[in-house]
Amino acid sequence: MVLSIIPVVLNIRVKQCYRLLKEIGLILLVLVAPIAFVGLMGVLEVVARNEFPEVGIYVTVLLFFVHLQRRDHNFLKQIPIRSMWIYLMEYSFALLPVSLLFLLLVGDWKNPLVMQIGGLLIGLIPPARRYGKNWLRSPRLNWFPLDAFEWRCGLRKNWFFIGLVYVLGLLLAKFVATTLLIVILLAYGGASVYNQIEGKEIIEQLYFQKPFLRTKTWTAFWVFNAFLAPHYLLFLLLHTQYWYLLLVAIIVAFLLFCVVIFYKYANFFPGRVLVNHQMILAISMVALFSPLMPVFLPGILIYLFVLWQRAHKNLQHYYAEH
Amino acid sequence: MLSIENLTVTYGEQEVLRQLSTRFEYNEIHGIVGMNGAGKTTLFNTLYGFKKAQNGRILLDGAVLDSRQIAFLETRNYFYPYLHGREYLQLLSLGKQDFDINEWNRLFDLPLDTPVDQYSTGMKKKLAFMGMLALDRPIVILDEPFNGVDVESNEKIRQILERIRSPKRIILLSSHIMGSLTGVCDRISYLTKGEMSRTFLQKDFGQLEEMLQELIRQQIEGTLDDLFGKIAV
Repeated sequence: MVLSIIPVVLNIRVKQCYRLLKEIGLILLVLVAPIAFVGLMGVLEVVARNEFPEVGIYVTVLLFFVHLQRRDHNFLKQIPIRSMWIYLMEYSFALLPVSLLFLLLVGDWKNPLVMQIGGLLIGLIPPARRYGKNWLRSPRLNWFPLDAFEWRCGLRKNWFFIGLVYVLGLLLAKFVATTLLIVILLAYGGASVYNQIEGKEIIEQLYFQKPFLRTKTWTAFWVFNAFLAPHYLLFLLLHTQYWYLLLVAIIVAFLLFCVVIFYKYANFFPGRVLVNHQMILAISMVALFSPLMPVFLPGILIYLFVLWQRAHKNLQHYYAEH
Repeated sequence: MLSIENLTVTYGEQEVLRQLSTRFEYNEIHGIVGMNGAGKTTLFNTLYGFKKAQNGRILLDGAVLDSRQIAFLETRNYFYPYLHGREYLQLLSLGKQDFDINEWNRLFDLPLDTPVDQYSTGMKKKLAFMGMLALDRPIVILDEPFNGVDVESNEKIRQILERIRSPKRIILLSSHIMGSLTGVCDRISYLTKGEMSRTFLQKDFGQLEEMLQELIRQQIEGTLDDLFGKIAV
């Protein structure tokens, strides 16, 4: 049974990948490809140089968060085999090309091993159910600005996880890496709140008052930083000499918000869920929070510009006089 | 006056609205009736800017219509996940001091401090209807407002529509339930194959009902005879 389902599921995933590539756009892919190639060479160099399988760990952690955010439980439940088998198969196939690259091009086996074992272990974890009774008593969060309603909704959805990370971050602030990791994790969480599209009537209420995309992005930036202000203060008190690392993390988080917000409105269609949002978010996370970010930066900026133009055009399409 | 001139809308190769021309007057509640696929929702979606027209013009008092002049109650309401009902209404009443959410909620008694995800279909419809009232716009479009709502709320919606009727407002609504339209509308237009074939005044609603019954009878009579003939055999 499992073997017969594999080609069917793979076929669906290939089609989804094709739709994702179409959404990104061929011209942009051609533009970004050389930069991505340089980035890949850089990653391979890091892999060849280092004994420690840090890329494998990084990919595994990323995959873990993608797994927690999956939204296809109901679809998978309809397939007559256990979802766990699908997860295991998908993660193994997804990690295979990267593993082979490491193995064949630089003869590294540690990173592929970590990734493959990580993928298998993650596949065994059941993703969180979203609309259970436990979520009934989600916090009101009236103190969040109404314009940033995505944040209210996102925090309600994942309040337990975010709260836990937030408190742990404060408790472990004596380690330099903690606050930086918290910024990365919560930037990921914050960017995830933009995966839904609101109704046209809501955008109309906000769109004509101020420059929409700019206001939306700045609101995200300020809400995020105000939320993390206690972490920043502790970091600056305890590790003053590393202030520049914090600054870089904050700028990178801002770029991530730009990507997800521009992507959201570039693909705006009333009442639609952004099916490829997690994929875009994962790619952006890899590009922005990797040590090779400077290499990826030109590509990210080009992508941002294209997304901004598309978002602007798309919003005009829905809000211009007709 | 809202006037639609030679409106043509297509989905791919399929022409859903064909050179449709009609007018809707202020202070009137105008019903639109038609079979599934006649183009009612497409017409509303085009008015609201969800769908671009291939041809034609939509004018409000001679000027090009702007979707900000419309409050639209869609057939199927979409709400941002985990958004509370109160927040939805707050967003839609931004800048309007006179819309008191609690006062308006006395009509429907919705649990406004609960995520909309936990609302029933009827509750979502009522929330969307309240949101539409909060927008307070000159054109009100309701696509199947009576679907999924209990009898009591249907009557409330009907009475509210009577109250919001004004010389500064045009109200358009569609419904599959003829009774719900004839009870509230001043005129009802029959939309078929993307064209407004005829508009009926209140005194002629009886004719419209007879016409629809006859059309449906003609459509299914042969099939029914076949089916029931076989059962009888």
